[in-house]
Order: sequence, then structure tokens, then C-alpha cells
Amino acid sequence: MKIQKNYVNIIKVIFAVAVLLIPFYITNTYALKIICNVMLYSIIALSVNLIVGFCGQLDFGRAAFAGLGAYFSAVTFNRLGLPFIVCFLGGAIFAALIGCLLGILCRYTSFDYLTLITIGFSEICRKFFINWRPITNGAFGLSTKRPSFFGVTLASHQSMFYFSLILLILCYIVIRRITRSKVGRAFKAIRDDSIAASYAGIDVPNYKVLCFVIGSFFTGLAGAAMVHYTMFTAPTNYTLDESIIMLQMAILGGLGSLPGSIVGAAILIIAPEISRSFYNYRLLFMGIMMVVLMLFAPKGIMGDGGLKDQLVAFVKKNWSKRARKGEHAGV
Amino acid sequence: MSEKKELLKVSNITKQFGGLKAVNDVSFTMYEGEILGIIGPNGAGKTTFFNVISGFDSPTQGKVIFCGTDMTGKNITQYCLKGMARTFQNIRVFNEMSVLDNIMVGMHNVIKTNIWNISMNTKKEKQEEAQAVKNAHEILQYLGIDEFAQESAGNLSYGYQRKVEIGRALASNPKLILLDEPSAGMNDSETIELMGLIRGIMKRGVNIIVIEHNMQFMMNLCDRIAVLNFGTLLTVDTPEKVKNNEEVIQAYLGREEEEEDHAS
Repeated sequence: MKIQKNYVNIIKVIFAVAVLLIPFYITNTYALKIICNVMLYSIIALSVNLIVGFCGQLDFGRAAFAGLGAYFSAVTFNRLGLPFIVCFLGGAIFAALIGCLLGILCRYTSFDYLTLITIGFSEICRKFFINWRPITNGAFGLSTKRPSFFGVTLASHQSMFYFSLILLILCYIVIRRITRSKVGRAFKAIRDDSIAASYAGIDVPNYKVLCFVIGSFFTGLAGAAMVHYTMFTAPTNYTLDESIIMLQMAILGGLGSLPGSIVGAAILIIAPEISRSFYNYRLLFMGIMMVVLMLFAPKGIMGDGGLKDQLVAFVKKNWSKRARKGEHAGV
Repeated sequence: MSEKKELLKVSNITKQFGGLKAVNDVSFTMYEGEILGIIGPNGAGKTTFFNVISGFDSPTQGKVIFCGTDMTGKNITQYCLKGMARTFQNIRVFNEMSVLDNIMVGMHNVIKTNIWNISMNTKKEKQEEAQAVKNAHEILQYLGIDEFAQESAGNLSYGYQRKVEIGRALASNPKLILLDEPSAGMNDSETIELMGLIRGIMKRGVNIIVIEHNMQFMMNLCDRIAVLNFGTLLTVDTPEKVKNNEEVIQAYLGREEEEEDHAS
């Protein structure tokens, strides 16, 4: 058991070093770009996981919050010339404020109605991005600059890689701490049984609002990071389809599992890129993957009792069988 | 009796659903240090009454005074903060959470922390969390289910889930626990164990109100019993007096005259 644990630790260290050194052995900008996208989308998937997986509120409007964070950050950065960090965090806080507003509206709304409200809300935001031309430049989109800290601009893809990585690690740590605290337990309690949760002294409506605020903060943060990375944004990036993809990332990875969200984001970003050679069948491939996975492992890949657990159980069972066979042969 | 402190005072509670009066003008007082039972035939309004005194439903008329505060119309969270906890007739544990987490959800208002402490994982947060885990294990040990601490609550058997529910209620350090049919679906030995458990909880300084169908259980356990029938309160008295009360016997067995009428 101890040796196994040591092995796991060694593998973890090797993995960490491998990730840290990615820009040194992957010099292809296209590949690096995809990896950065994976990391930024992972943050969004984590926030979706917090809202859908932990608090049990089916939210179809995440893309709108990424858009709010992105536009706020880009507009303040371009127009007001404020330091990057202010605009960047401002975008996240702005998204959190709007999330608070939406949360307050949804406080007493039950499951399916809440979903409809979030869909409607995301459409409202998209229309705003398209039609508020003086600020958002309408359907033409908005270009902006790369992040800069104290006069140093993160111009290269390598530096953006480290920026995204640090952001992802920070967000992951904070979200993980939240999920393991009193607040996270309250979210899970609301998901499992909101009546029992309220009798445990949890203020259910306000905790729902809190969940939207925290989730929207991280979605907005990732959205703001993305706009400064791609240096361009347009309303077409924040459609309902995009929200559904974000939701898929969390579900595919496994609701309730934080590493799962990263895996889910990686699969849903990388798979379409790999399958570009048979582009026409891309959506079909993704659809089939989703259907098969949900049928046979509804808990996703890394979720509790999901694909990973099933595989581990399968391997263990077969191994012990083989070991027993070996014993019999020996006898 | 007079020197005992009033814990829960219910005055002239009426709960009406449309034209139906599920609870009709019920008033009584519960004192500290007693186990109060509520019995009544099916459909007597026991659960509705329970929902009213625990803040789930607000009464159409009347007042609920808990620990000297008028709680009428306040929400469930305020009831909990005041020191009330309850279990449910159809068990409500958090299925996908571990047993330990279930208990710790009960400590929600005992743990004082904020989002900043949580995200920074400050020393205070760590200490508080460690203390909460320790307390939760103590409760689990007391209930005899500590070995299942890491198991998902949904995987436990019915009787153990009951205990998890009771543990969750205990974890909030309540003054009063309302138990809604705690022995439902339990066999005789489990019921006897439950009785011991409830008496033990009583000794920890927690007061208890129980709803039950199991008469023997109630007669043995309760200090006083309130009898409801068609939403009205027939009597509140000691088990012996309730047993011999004419009205109560009539409510449960039907009127003698009616039977005589039938016979003739």
C-alpha cells in the first residue's frame, strides 16, 4: 500500500514537471494555443461544476457570464486605459454582480424554471453584445490587447501558457477549498434535498445566490482571460451552443469531480481540433461520444462511480481473477 | 410543574387548506425537560401540526412561541437558529454525501467562518474544520455508526439512515428536536434501541417531541402525550391518564353507541 502511494506521488511529480515544461517541448504555436484554451475553458468548466454539480442548479447561461467578463475587461482596458489587473478582476467582479442579480431573481425558482430563466438571460446578454454598438462594437466584435503586468506585456504564447496555468491552479485551489468547506457542504445539501437542508439551518435561497456569485466570478475571470488571450471577441462566442458545450465539459468530466472538469474541458476542446480532418463528421462524433458515455457512465469520466471507477473496478476484478488462476496453475 | 421553564407554547393554532381545517384551534405548552408525544388516528393532522410548529407551514391563525420568542411566520432558518431541529417521516438524508458530511451539514450554523477564510484556508478555518470533524465523529460514535463515516448515506440501511438524520439534528446543538415517526419501518429490537437512544439524547439536555403510531413505544417513552383527532386536540396528559381517557378510546375504537346501533 505504501509503495503504491509512493508510486502515485512520483507519477504526480513527473506529471507536474511535464506540464510545467510544456512550452519547452511543444513549440508549435497551434498546439500551445489549444492547451491554453483547454486551461481557460477548464476554469469555466469548474465554475459550471460548482453550480450544476455541487449546488444542483441546471444553468444554461454560463457563456453569457464569460461574455460579460470578457466585454467588461476588454472595454475598460481599451477605453479607460486602466491597468490590466484592474480590468481583468473588474470583469470577474462584474460577472459576479450580474450573477448575484440573476441569483436573486432565481432564489425561489425550482429546477426547470431556473433553467429557462438562465437560457433567457443568456439570450438577453447576447442581444446586448450585438446591439449596444457604441460600447461593444456590435456584431463586428471587439479587439483588445494582451495582458500586461507592471509594463511587461505577455506577448508570447509561452508567457500566456504560464499565465493561464497559474490562473487555473489558483482557481482550482480556491474552488476545491470552497467545495470542502461548510459552504460546499451546504451546496451539496441543497442539491441532495433542499427541504432537509433548510431544516439543517441552511438559508437555501441565499446560498443559491452565493453559488451563482462564486460561479459567475470564475466564469467571468476565465472569459476575461480568454478575450485578452485571443485579443478578439464577438457576440457569436457567447451563444447558447457555447453554454451547452461548457455544460457538457462538466457533465462529461463528471459532476461533482473537480479534476473531471479539467478532463472534460480537455476532451471537448481537443477532440474537435483533432477531428478537423473529418470536419463534417465532427459533431456526429461528439454527439455519439456523449450519448454512449451518458448511457454507460452517467456520472461522467471522473465522477463518483463514473467511467474511471468502473474501469478501475474492472481491472482489479480481472487482475484478482488472473492471480487466482495463477495460484491454481501453481497448485 | 410551575417551576419548569416554558419551551414551546402553541396557542390557538389553526391551519386551513381550502375548506379543510387540518388543525383546529390547538393550544398547549411544552416545558423543558420532558418528552412530549403526539398521537392520533390516521389523518388526524399530526404531520400538518408538526409542519406548523417547525416553521414549514405558517398557521392560518394562532401563534407559536418558542423559547419566549414569537416565531409565527418566520422562516425555517430562523427556527433552526433559535434551536429547533427535526427529522422526517420519509427519511431525508443527503444520499450522495458521506455520513460524516451529513452530520457536518447539521453543524452549519455552529461553524462560524466566511468565504475569505475558506478561500485563503486560514489557520482559524483549519482549526474550526478540524474541531467540527472531531465533534461529528463523537456524535457518530454516540449513535454507534462511526464505522460508516466515509460511506455514502444513501447506501446505508433504513435504521442507520434514521440515526444519521438524528445525528444531523443533534449536530446543530438544538434545544428541541421534533421526531416524525422515528420508529416507522423498524423491527422490535430496533425500536427498543431507538427508545434508549431518545432517552439518552434527553439526558444531553435536548427536549423532544415525537409523533408515532406505535402506541406501546409512546406509552413507555413519553412524559406527556397530546392526542389529536380530526385536527382538534382531545387532551394533553400523562400516558396513564391518556390510556383511560374516554374521548381518546372513542377516537381510536369508535363510539360504543354506534356499534350498539349496528347490533340492534
